[in-house]
Amino acid sequence: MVLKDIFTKDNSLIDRTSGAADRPLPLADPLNRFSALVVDIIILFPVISLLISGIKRRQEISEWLSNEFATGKFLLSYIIVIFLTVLFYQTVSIALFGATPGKLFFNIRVVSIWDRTKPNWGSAFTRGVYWCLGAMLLLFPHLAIIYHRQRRPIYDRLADTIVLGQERYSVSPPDYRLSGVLKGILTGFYIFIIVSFISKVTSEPGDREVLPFGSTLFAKPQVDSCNVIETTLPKGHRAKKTNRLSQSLNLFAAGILEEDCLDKEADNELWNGKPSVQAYAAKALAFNAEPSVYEKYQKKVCSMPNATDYCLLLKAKKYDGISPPTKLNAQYQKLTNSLYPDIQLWALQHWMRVNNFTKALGLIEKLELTSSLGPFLGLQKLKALWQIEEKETARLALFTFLPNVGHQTGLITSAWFCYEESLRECGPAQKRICDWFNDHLKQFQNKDLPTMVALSVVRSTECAQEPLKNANDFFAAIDNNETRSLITRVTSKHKRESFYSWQSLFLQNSLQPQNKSEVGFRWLSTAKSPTDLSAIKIAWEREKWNLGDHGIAMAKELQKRLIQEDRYQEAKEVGSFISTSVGPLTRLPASSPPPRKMGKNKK
Amino acid sequence: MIFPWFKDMFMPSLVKTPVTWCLIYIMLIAFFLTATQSLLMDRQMQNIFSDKLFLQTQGLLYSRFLNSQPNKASPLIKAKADQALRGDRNALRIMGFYALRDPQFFYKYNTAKTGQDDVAKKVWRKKIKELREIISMHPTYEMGFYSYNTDWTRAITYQFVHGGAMHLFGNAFFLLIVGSYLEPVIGGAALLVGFLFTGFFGALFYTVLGGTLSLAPMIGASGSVSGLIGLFGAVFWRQPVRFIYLTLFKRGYCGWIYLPTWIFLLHRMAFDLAGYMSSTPELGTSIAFSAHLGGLGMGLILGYILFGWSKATSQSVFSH
Repeated sequence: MVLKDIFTKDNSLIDRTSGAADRPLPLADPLNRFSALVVDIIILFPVISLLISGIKRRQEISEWLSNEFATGKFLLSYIIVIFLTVLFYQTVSIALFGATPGKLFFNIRVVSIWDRTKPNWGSAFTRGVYWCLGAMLLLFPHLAIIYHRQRRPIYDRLADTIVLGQERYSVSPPDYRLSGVLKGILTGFYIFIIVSFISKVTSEPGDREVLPFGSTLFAKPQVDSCNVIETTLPKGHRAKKTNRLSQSLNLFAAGILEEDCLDKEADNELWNGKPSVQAYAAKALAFNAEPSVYEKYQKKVCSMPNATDYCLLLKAKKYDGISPPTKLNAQYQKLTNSLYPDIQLWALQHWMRVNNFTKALGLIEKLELTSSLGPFLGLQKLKALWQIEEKETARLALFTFLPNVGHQTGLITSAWFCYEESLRECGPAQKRICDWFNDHLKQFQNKDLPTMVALSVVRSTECAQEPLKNANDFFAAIDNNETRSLITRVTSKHKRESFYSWQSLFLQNSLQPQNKSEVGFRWLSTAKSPTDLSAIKIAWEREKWNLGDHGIAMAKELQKRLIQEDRYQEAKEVGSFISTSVGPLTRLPASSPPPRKMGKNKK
Repeated sequence: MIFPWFKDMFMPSLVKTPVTWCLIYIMLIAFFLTATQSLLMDRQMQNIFSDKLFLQTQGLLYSRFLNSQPNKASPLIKAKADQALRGDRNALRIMGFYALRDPQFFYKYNTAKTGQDDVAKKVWRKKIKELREIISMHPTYEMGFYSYNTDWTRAITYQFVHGGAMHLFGNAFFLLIVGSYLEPVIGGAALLVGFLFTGFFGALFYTVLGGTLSLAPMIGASGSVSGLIGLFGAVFWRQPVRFIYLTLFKRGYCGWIYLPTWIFLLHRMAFDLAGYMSSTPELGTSIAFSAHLGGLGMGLILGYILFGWSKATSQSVFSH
């Protein structure tokens, strides 16, 4: 390779192209060079299509068979074939004719800078290699044709070549200023890419997803989400009693198993075994989102003998989200006494939802004897204990519970308690559990963060009065857009003052109960006027059954604010909602009026 | 961008190229007569296939059907059916779609009325009946060519039916290009025979090279247009023909160029060959490359037999 053109101090070429010499070189017009490239692409396209057809076929078969399919593997094969074809085309045509067919068509030639003859094989090959590398960088290095004084991109300079055209169609070297500006912009762009790359590579391992080298190009082993059935099937004396379908129904009721996995297990029993009530019920539950199919399976279940419990469950579940959950209490009371653990789990979820924690605790005790869903039941028990104001018992139970469960459950549980403690009071108790939560969080790769975890991170940093660390990475790691937009809004330094209507809309339209309650808390903390409080009260009335686990905490906060504003009647309404579930904890003063605000006394 | 461009191409003339324009008119009329019905039927079919329970049940039944006939399916399809039977839900849905290609299953298979998942089977029986009715009335299926069907009248009718406006436009445009060159030289009757015969031969090739007998219909004039391109290549083998090229919208970068026809022929052949080689016949493609290749090859042979290489003079081509 001849590099003397790059390092030489000989300015004769520059002189000649810039017109310092008697006769300037006829530099090829960039438009001609672009058009020549188009013609070359037209010629090469069918050839490359033919050459890669075999790889394409293999890719199609691989996709069809779902064989650890890696797009990167085929992409790499495509790049290699195209690279070699273009290199061959460039080298042979330039070494033999001094131009590619496209260049011949537009009457431009590649010549050696030293003697203006066609380049030798070495130069043609070098030029071809760097041309292809430049093309792989999205043709950015080729843009030097516009700004370089001799219109020579890096491949021309490395191969000691120059592209010349006919005298009458040639162009002069680019203007110094324009050339400088364009070069500056491109250099800036290159620096930006390099700096971004280096910062990505050298960022702290905890802040980014750690993947083995090359894993972005090659296939990652797919994790079958249905494997959870095998991993949670009880061992020992319980194993005989629990079959796969029962376990799948339990896991589905606990929200651990996906619909598709339940459907698969039900199909397995229906098509390969003896169709049972449980299998038909599982099909109905798996098609919960499709009412017409759900109804067909529900009718089938109800028409079968010994299917009273499942029939009742499916009838009750049909009205989930349609009517207020308290209207289904009678049905779920019957289901509480069912012998099937999965039906009891649905009943447990109902009691937790309607905030009847006493009933929920009773059911958990019963379930702990029959079900193998220890961590799930443990978490529900802790939540129920917390809600019935057995806070110290809940805290003690929490610290015995956390070391004995898996990381995922540990993270979710600690996140839930960190959030609740942060809502209650920022202090030593809150700090202890939030530290525990942060320790759990560090053990995870920061990606696909659930809403509960993301909200706890925000609340704990607020309590610690610290700014959010690596905010951009954190936002990117949140697993859903709704939570991301909510957190971006609440952590924004430039909060908009008039965003009450947004909060009301969010409460109505949000799909995540935790986000709903978070918005409710934030709204309450910023409400200044009685009108704001009225708006919150109306929104709460509408959404009180959809606020998830933190609904009670929000109701208490709302009740507190209403009492402060002397709105006893409304406070009583909220209080009655709380007392039906967790007992009359916040009592209104019977005889003496509540203490008035200092400001009002002054008036 | 570069393709042949006859200077009087867009001047419909019943004197110079009557057959070419008649063929285009017939294709247009066929399209407008069938478009509404096709659209309606397509929507109904989409509704049926958007039913997850139907699709999964069909996939399961079809996989079991293939399993019961070990020698019938190709190894690739069998492998997918095995995946579906092992519980891969995605494979199950793919097999549900794929069942539509198998005439034996689609028209003849029926389930026992009781046992196994009664609800799913009832839904499937109802929907498959609807689907069979839709397909029996669908213009594409009524006039299209199937590799499993020996009704060779369809090998003619399929050439005039198109699946969409862009499909029709592409074929009509290339028919116009090639027809306006060919018809004045070889005559309208020869062009019509060439169009129909090469299209017929394309269908034959599609059946032979298709791999499996499929219920998926082949439609469109692309096989016949490829045949005419073959004929065009044979007749004007080395004659310089006018092409239009466009690299930039600027004077000097677009215009006319005279190139021998074999370049165009080779270009087209390379694309079709690449398409054919990159597709797996059992899995099917949206473009019938085998029909293109069959038509093109037949056009070349026909041109050679009837007219010999380069019999047409450049004078006859450019005398218009």
